[in-house]
Amino acid sequence: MIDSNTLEKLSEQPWEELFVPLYEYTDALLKRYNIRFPNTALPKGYDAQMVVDEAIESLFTGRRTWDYDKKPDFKLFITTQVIRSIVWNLFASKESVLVKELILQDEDGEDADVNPLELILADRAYILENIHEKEFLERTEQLIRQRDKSPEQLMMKVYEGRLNGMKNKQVAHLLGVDVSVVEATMKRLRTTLLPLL
Amino acid sequence: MQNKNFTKHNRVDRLFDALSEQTFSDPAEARARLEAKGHDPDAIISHGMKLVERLRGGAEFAIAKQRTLQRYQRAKQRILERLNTIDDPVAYLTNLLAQRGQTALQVNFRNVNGLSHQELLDMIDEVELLYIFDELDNDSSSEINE
Repeated sequence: MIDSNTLEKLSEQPWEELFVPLYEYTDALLKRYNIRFPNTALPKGYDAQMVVDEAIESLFTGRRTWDYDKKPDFKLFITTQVIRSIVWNLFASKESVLVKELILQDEDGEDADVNPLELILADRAYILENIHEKEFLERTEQLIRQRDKSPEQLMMKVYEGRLNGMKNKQVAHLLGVDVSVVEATMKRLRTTLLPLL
Repeated sequence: MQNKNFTKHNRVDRLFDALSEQTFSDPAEARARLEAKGHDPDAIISHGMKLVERLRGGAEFAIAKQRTLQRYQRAKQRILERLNTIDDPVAYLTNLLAQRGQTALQVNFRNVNGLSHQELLDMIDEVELLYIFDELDNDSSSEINE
Protein backbone atom coordinates (compact mmCIF):
# COMPACT_ATOMS: atom_id res chain seq x y z
CA MET A 1 0.00 0.00 0.00
CA ILE A 2 1.22 3.49 -0.76
CA ASP A 3 2.25 5.71 2.14
CA SER A 4 0.94 9.23 2.63
CA ASN A 5 4.24 10.97 1.79
CA THR A 6 4.56 9.18 -1.54
CA LEU A 7 0.90 9.88 -2.30
CA GLU A 8 1.56 13.56 -1.68
CA LYS A 9 4.58 13.50 -4.01
CA LEU A 10 2.59 11.75 -6.72
CA SER A 11 -0.30 14.16 -6.32
CA GLU A 12 2.09 17.11 -6.78
CA GLN A 13 3.15 15.97 -10.25
CA PRO A 14 1.91 18.10 -13.17
CA TRP A 15 -0.21 15.29 -14.56
CA GLU A 16 -2.03 17.39 -17.11
CA GLU A 17 1.31 18.17 -18.77
CA LEU A 18 2.61 14.63 -18.43
CA PHE A 19 -0.05 12.55 -20.13
CA VAL A 20 0.69 13.48 -23.74
CA PRO A 21 4.48 12.93 -23.51
CA LEU A 22 3.95 9.72 -21.51
CA TYR A 23 1.60 8.39 -24.15
CA GLU A 24 3.91 9.40 -26.98
CA TYR A 25 6.92 7.85 -25.24
CA THR A 26 5.04 4.59 -24.62
CA ASP A 27 3.70 4.45 -28.16
CA ALA A 28 7.25 4.76 -29.52
CA LEU A 29 8.51 2.19 -27.03
CA LEU A 30 5.91 -0.34 -28.13
CA LYS A 31 6.96 0.17 -31.74
CA ARG A 32 10.59 -0.26 -30.75
CA TYR A 33 9.80 -3.57 -29.06
CA ASN A 34 7.76 -4.68 -32.04
CA ILE A 35 10.97 -4.38 -34.00
CA ARG A 36 13.04 -6.18 -31.37
CA PHE A 37 10.52 -8.98 -31.01
CA PRO A 38 9.04 -9.37 -34.47
CA ASN A 39 7.25 -12.61 -33.76
CA THR A 40 5.43 -11.32 -30.73
CA ALA A 41 2.04 -9.71 -30.68
CA LEU A 42 0.52 -7.86 -27.76
CA PRO A 43 -2.77 -9.17 -26.37
CA LYS A 44 -5.73 -7.85 -28.33
CA GLY A 45 -6.64 -4.30 -27.39
CA TYR A 46 -3.42 -3.65 -25.53
CA ASP A 47 -2.01 -0.28 -26.47
CA ALA A 48 0.00 2.65 -25.15
CA GLN A 49 -2.90 3.96 -23.11
CA MET A 50 -3.28 0.66 -21.26
CA VAL A 51 0.41 0.58 -20.46
CA VAL A 52 0.41 4.15 -19.17
CA ASP A 53 -2.73 3.46 -17.13
CA GLU A 54 -1.11 0.38 -15.63
CA ALA A 55 2.05 2.34 -14.80
CA ILE A 56 0.14 5.08 -13.01
CA GLU A 57 -2.11 2.63 -11.20
CA SER A 58 0.85 0.58 -10.00
CA LEU A 59 2.32 3.70 -8.37
CA PHE A 60 -0.87 4.92 -6.70
CA THR A 61 -1.69 1.49 -5.32
CA GLY A 62 1.85 0.97 -4.03
CA ARG A 63 2.41 -2.08 -6.21
CA ARG A 64 5.48 -0.28 -7.52
CA THR A 65 7.37 2.06 -5.25
CA TRP A 66 8.81 5.44 -6.09
CA ASP A 67 11.84 6.26 -3.93
CA TYR A 68 11.71 10.00 -4.56
CA ASP A 69 14.85 10.64 -2.49
CA LYS A 70 16.97 8.41 -4.70
CA LYS A 71 15.11 9.12 -7.94
CA PRO A 72 13.79 12.68 -7.72
CA ASP A 73 13.20 13.01 -11.48
CA PHE A 74 9.69 11.56 -11.71
CA LYS A 75 9.48 11.68 -15.50
CA LEU A 76 12.71 9.72 -15.82
CA PHE A 77 11.55 7.25 -13.17
CA ILE A 78 8.13 6.50 -14.60
CA THR A 79 9.45 6.10 -18.16
CA THR A 80 12.68 4.16 -17.64
CA GLN A 81 11.75 2.18 -14.53
CA VAL A 82 8.03 1.61 -14.68
CA ILE A 83 6.80 1.84 -18.27
CA ARG A 84 9.83 0.11 -19.75
CA SER A 85 9.48 -2.67 -17.20
CA ILE A 86 5.82 -3.19 -18.06
CA VAL A 87 6.50 -3.24 -21.80
CA TRP A 88 9.48 -5.55 -21.38
CA ASN A 89 7.40 -7.98 -19.33
CA LEU A 90 4.72 -7.89 -22.00
CA PHE A 91 7.10 -8.81 -24.77
CA ALA A 92 9.85 -10.82 -23.12
CA SER A 93 7.68 -13.49 -21.56
CA LYS A 94 5.95 -14.17 -24.86
CA GLU A 95 9.33 -14.19 -26.57
CA SER A 96 10.59 -17.11 -24.55
CA VAL A 97 7.60 -19.16 -25.59
CA LEU A 98 8.22 -18.35 -29.24
CA VAL A 99 11.88 -19.33 -28.99
CA LYS A 100 10.94 -22.77 -27.75
CA GLU A 101 8.49 -23.20 -30.60
CA LEU A 102 11.03 -22.13 -33.19
CA ILE A 103 13.92 -24.31 -32.17
CA LEU A 104 12.26 -27.56 -31.32
CA GLN A 105 11.67 -28.40 -34.93
CA ASP A 106 13.70 -27.82 -38.06
CA GLU A 107 12.37 -26.81 -41.47
CA ASP A 108 11.09 -30.30 -42.23
CA GLY A 109 9.25 -30.48 -38.98
CA GLU A 110 11.72 -32.96 -37.54
CA ASP A 111 13.00 -32.54 -34.01
CA ALA A 112 16.00 -30.21 -34.06
CA ASP A 113 19.26 -31.49 -32.58
CA VAL A 114 19.65 -28.68 -30.07
CA ASN A 115 19.26 -28.15 -26.37
CA PRO A 116 16.30 -25.78 -26.13
CA LEU A 117 17.17 -24.65 -22.64
CA GLU A 118 20.65 -23.51 -23.65
CA LEU A 119 19.30 -21.49 -26.50
CA ILE A 120 16.58 -19.97 -24.35
CA LEU A 121 19.18 -18.79 -21.88
CA ALA A 122 21.20 -17.09 -24.63
CA ASP A 123 20.54 -13.52 -25.75
CA ARG A 124 17.27 -13.48 -27.63
CA ALA A 125 18.47 -10.77 -29.95
CA TYR A 126 21.01 -13.23 -31.34
CA ILE A 127 18.71 -16.20 -31.46
CA LEU A 128 16.15 -14.68 -33.76
CA GLU A 129 17.45 -13.23 -36.99
CA ASN A 130 16.48 -9.57 -36.63
CA ILE A 131 15.39 -9.05 -40.17
CA HIS A 132 12.88 -6.52 -39.00
CA GLU A 133 15.53 -4.41 -37.30
CA LYS A 134 17.71 -4.44 -40.42
CA GLU A 135 14.76 -3.50 -42.60
CA PHE A 136 13.75 -0.80 -40.17
CA LEU A 137 17.18 0.86 -40.30
CA GLU A 138 17.25 0.61 -44.08
CA ARG A 139 13.86 2.28 -44.33
CA THR A 140 15.00 4.94 -41.89
CA GLU A 141 17.99 5.80 -44.03
CA GLN A 142 15.86 5.78 -47.16
CA LEU A 143 13.48 8.34 -45.66
CA ILE A 144 16.39 10.54 -44.58
CA ARG A 145 17.96 10.45 -48.05
CA GLN A 146 14.59 11.39 -49.58
CA ARG A 147 14.16 14.32 -47.21
CA ASP A 148 17.71 15.64 -46.96
CA LYS A 149 18.93 16.62 -50.42
CA SER A 150 21.50 19.14 -49.15
CA PRO A 151 25.16 18.68 -50.15
CA GLU A 152 26.29 18.58 -46.53
CA GLN A 153 23.69 15.90 -45.70
CA LEU A 154 23.48 17.18 -42.17
CA MET A 155 20.49 15.06 -41.24
CA MET A 156 22.21 11.83 -42.21
CA LYS A 157 25.35 12.82 -40.29
CA VAL A 158 23.39 13.72 -37.16
CA TYR A 159 21.40 10.49 -37.50
CA GLU A 160 24.58 8.43 -37.78
CA GLY A 161 26.14 10.20 -34.84
CA ARG A 162 23.16 9.53 -32.57
CA LEU A 163 22.85 5.99 -33.88
CA ASN A 164 26.41 5.36 -32.76
CA GLY A 165 25.86 6.60 -29.25
CA MET A 166 26.92 10.23 -29.46
CA LYS A 167 25.02 12.98 -27.67
CA ASN A 168 23.95 16.19 -29.42
CA LYS A 169 26.91 18.13 -28.04
CA GLN A 170 29.40 15.54 -29.29
CA VAL A 171 27.84 15.47 -32.74
CA ALA A 172 27.89 19.28 -32.84
CA HIS A 173 31.56 19.32 -31.90
CA LEU A 174 32.43 16.73 -34.53
CA LEU A 175 30.55 18.51 -37.28
CA GLY A 176 31.79 21.94 -36.23
CA VAL A 177 28.31 23.40 -35.72
CA ASP A 178 26.39 24.84 -32.82
CA VAL A 179 24.45 22.36 -30.68
CA SER A 180 21.25 24.23 -31.56
CA VAL A 181 21.79 23.23 -35.20
CA VAL A 182 21.99 19.57 -34.15
CA GLU A 183 18.87 19.96 -31.99
CA ALA A 184 16.96 21.54 -34.85
CA THR A 185 18.12 18.74 -37.14
CA MET A 186 16.93 16.16 -34.62
CA LYS A 187 13.53 17.83 -34.67
CA ARG A 188 13.40 17.54 -38.48
CA LEU A 189 14.58 13.96 -38.16
CA ARG A 190 11.67 13.11 -35.87
CA THR A 191 9.25 14.57 -38.38
CA THR A 192 10.95 12.71 -41.21
CA LEU A 193 10.76 9.38 -39.40
CA LEU A 194 7.21 9.84 -38.14
CA PRO A 195 5.78 7.30 -40.62
CA LEU A 196 7.97 4.66 -38.97
CA LEU A 197 7.30 5.63 -35.35
CA MET B 1 31.24 7.65 -36.85
CA GLN B 2 31.32 3.87 -36.86
CA ASN B 3 31.67 1.70 -33.78
CA LYS B 4 32.19 -1.91 -34.73
CA ASN B 5 31.01 -3.18 -31.37
CA PHE B 6 27.45 -1.95 -31.80
CA THR B 7 24.91 -4.50 -32.89
CA LYS B 8 21.87 -3.66 -34.95
CA HIS B 9 19.81 -4.21 -31.83
CA ASN B 10 21.69 -1.50 -29.89
CA ARG B 11 21.53 0.92 -32.80
CA VAL B 12 17.75 0.75 -32.93
CA ASP B 13 17.55 1.32 -29.19
CA ARG B 14 19.86 4.30 -29.43
CA LEU B 15 17.87 5.76 -32.29
CA PHE B 16 14.62 5.52 -30.33
CA ASP B 17 16.26 6.97 -27.24
CA ALA B 18 17.59 9.88 -29.28
CA LEU B 19 14.22 10.48 -30.92
CA SER B 20 12.33 10.42 -27.62
CA GLU B 21 14.68 12.82 -25.83
CA GLN B 22 12.56 15.80 -26.72
CA THR B 23 9.28 14.11 -25.80
CA PHE B 24 9.08 15.80 -22.41
CA SER B 25 11.01 18.99 -23.10
CA ASP B 26 8.91 19.87 -26.15
CA PRO B 27 5.31 18.94 -25.29
CA ALA B 28 3.96 20.83 -28.30
CA GLU B 29 5.98 18.61 -30.60
CA ALA B 30 4.87 15.48 -28.72
CA ARG B 31 1.29 16.64 -29.12
CA ALA B 32 1.77 17.27 -32.84
CA ARG B 33 3.27 13.81 -33.32
CA LEU B 34 0.34 12.17 -31.56
CA GLU B 35 -2.12 14.09 -33.70
CA ALA B 36 -0.20 13.10 -36.83
CA LYS B 37 -0.59 9.47 -35.77
CA GLY B 38 -4.34 9.95 -35.45
CA HIS B 39 -4.63 10.26 -31.66
CA ASP B 40 -6.60 12.88 -29.73
CA PRO B 41 -4.31 14.51 -27.12
CA ASP B 42 -7.22 16.18 -25.32
CA ALA B 43 -9.00 12.85 -24.94
CA ILE B 44 -5.76 11.33 -23.61
CA ILE B 45 -5.43 14.12 -21.04
CA SER B 46 -9.08 13.87 -20.01
CA HIS B 47 -8.84 10.12 -19.57
CA GLY B 48 -5.62 10.46 -17.60
CA MET B 49 -6.92 13.12 -15.23
CA LYS B 50 -10.00 11.03 -14.40
CA LEU B 51 -7.76 8.05 -13.73
CA VAL B 52 -5.46 10.00 -11.41
CA GLU B 53 -8.42 11.47 -9.52
CA ARG B 54 -9.93 8.03 -9.02
CA LEU B 55 -6.63 6.49 -7.94
CA ARG B 56 -5.82 9.36 -5.61
CA GLY B 57 -9.21 9.02 -3.91
CA GLY B 58 -8.71 5.29 -3.59
CA ALA B 59 -5.25 5.73 -2.09
CA GLU B 60 -6.48 8.34 0.41
CA PHE B 61 -9.28 6.03 1.47
CA ALA B 62 -6.89 3.09 1.87
CA ILE B 63 -4.50 5.18 3.98
CA ALA B 64 -7.31 6.49 6.18
CA LYS B 65 -8.66 2.98 6.63
CA GLN B 66 -5.22 1.72 7.57
CA ARG B 67 -4.82 4.52 10.12
CA THR B 68 -8.19 3.69 11.65
CA LEU B 69 -7.30 0.03 11.81
CA GLN B 70 -4.00 0.81 13.52
CA ARG B 71 -5.77 3.14 15.98
CA TYR B 72 -8.36 0.46 16.63
CA GLN B 73 -5.65 -2.11 17.38
CA ARG B 74 -3.84 0.29 19.71
CA ALA B 75 -7.13 1.11 21.39
CA LYS B 76 -7.94 -2.53 21.90
CA GLN B 77 -4.57 -3.15 23.49
CA ARG B 78 -4.89 -0.12 25.82
CA ILE B 79 -8.38 -1.10 26.86
CA LEU B 80 -7.32 -4.66 27.56
CA GLU B 81 -4.54 -3.39 29.78
CA ARG B 82 -7.02 -1.15 31.59
CA LEU B 83 -9.64 -3.85 32.02
CA ASN B 84 -7.08 -5.96 33.82
CA THR B 85 -6.97 -3.32 36.55
CA ILE B 86 -10.75 -2.98 36.98
CA ASP B 87 -12.81 -5.10 39.37
CA ASP B 88 -15.93 -5.28 37.24
CA PRO B 89 -14.98 -4.78 33.61
CA VAL B 90 -18.45 -5.69 32.32
CA ALA B 91 -20.09 -2.99 34.43
CA TYR B 92 -17.42 -0.51 33.38
CA LEU B 93 -17.95 -1.16 29.69
CA THR B 94 -21.72 -1.25 30.03
CA ASN B 95 -21.79 2.11 31.82
CA LEU B 96 -19.56 3.73 29.25
CA LEU B 97 -21.61 2.46 26.34
CA ALA B 98 -24.86 3.40 28.06
CA GLN B 99 -23.68 7.00 28.12
CA ARG B 100 -23.72 6.82 24.35
CA GLY B 101 -27.22 5.41 24.36
CA GLN B 102 -26.06 1.94 23.40
CA THR B 103 -28.63 0.10 25.48
CA ALA B 104 -28.83 -2.82 23.06
CA LEU B 105 -25.32 -3.85 23.92
CA GLN B 106 -26.31 -4.13 27.56
CA VAL B 107 -28.51 -7.03 26.57
CA ASN B 108 -25.52 -8.82 25.12
CA PHE B 109 -23.49 -8.11 28.18
CA ARG B 110 -25.97 -9.93 30.40
CA ASN B 111 -24.72 -13.16 28.89
CA VAL B 112 -21.05 -12.50 29.23
CA ASN B 113 -20.19 -14.50 32.32
CA GLY B 114 -17.09 -16.49 31.71
CA LEU B 115 -15.94 -14.47 28.71
CA SER B 116 -12.36 -13.24 28.67
CA HIS B 117 -11.60 -9.51 28.39
CA GLN B 118 -10.50 -10.09 24.81
CA GLU B 119 -13.81 -11.77 24.01
CA LEU B 120 -15.68 -8.90 25.64
CA LEU B 121 -13.90 -6.43 23.43
CA ASP B 122 -14.56 -8.53 20.35
CA MET B 123 -18.28 -7.99 20.95
CA ILE B 124 -17.89 -4.27 20.65
CA ASP B 125 -17.65 -2.71 17.22
CA GLU B 126 -14.79 -0.45 16.13
CA VAL B 127 -16.64 2.80 16.60
CA GLU B 128 -17.62 2.00 20.16
CA LEU B 129 -14.14 0.75 20.94
CA LEU B 130 -12.60 3.99 19.79
CA TYR B 131 -15.10 5.87 21.96
CA ILE B 132 -13.97 3.80 24.95
CA PHE B 133 -10.36 4.52 24.02
CA ASP B 134 -11.07 8.25 23.97
CA GLU B 135 -12.77 7.98 27.35
CA LEU B 136 -9.73 6.20 28.73
CA ASP B 137 -7.58 9.03 27.46
CA ASN B 138 -9.86 11.53 29.19
CA ASP B 139 -9.69 9.53 32.41
CA SER B 140 -5.90 9.42 32.21
CA SER B 141 -5.72 13.16 31.58
CA SER B 142 -7.96 13.97 34.54
CA GLU B 143 -5.90 11.65 36.76
CA ILE B 144 -2.77 13.50 35.74
CA ASN B 145 -4.39 16.86 36.34
CA GLU B 146 -5.65 16.00 39.84
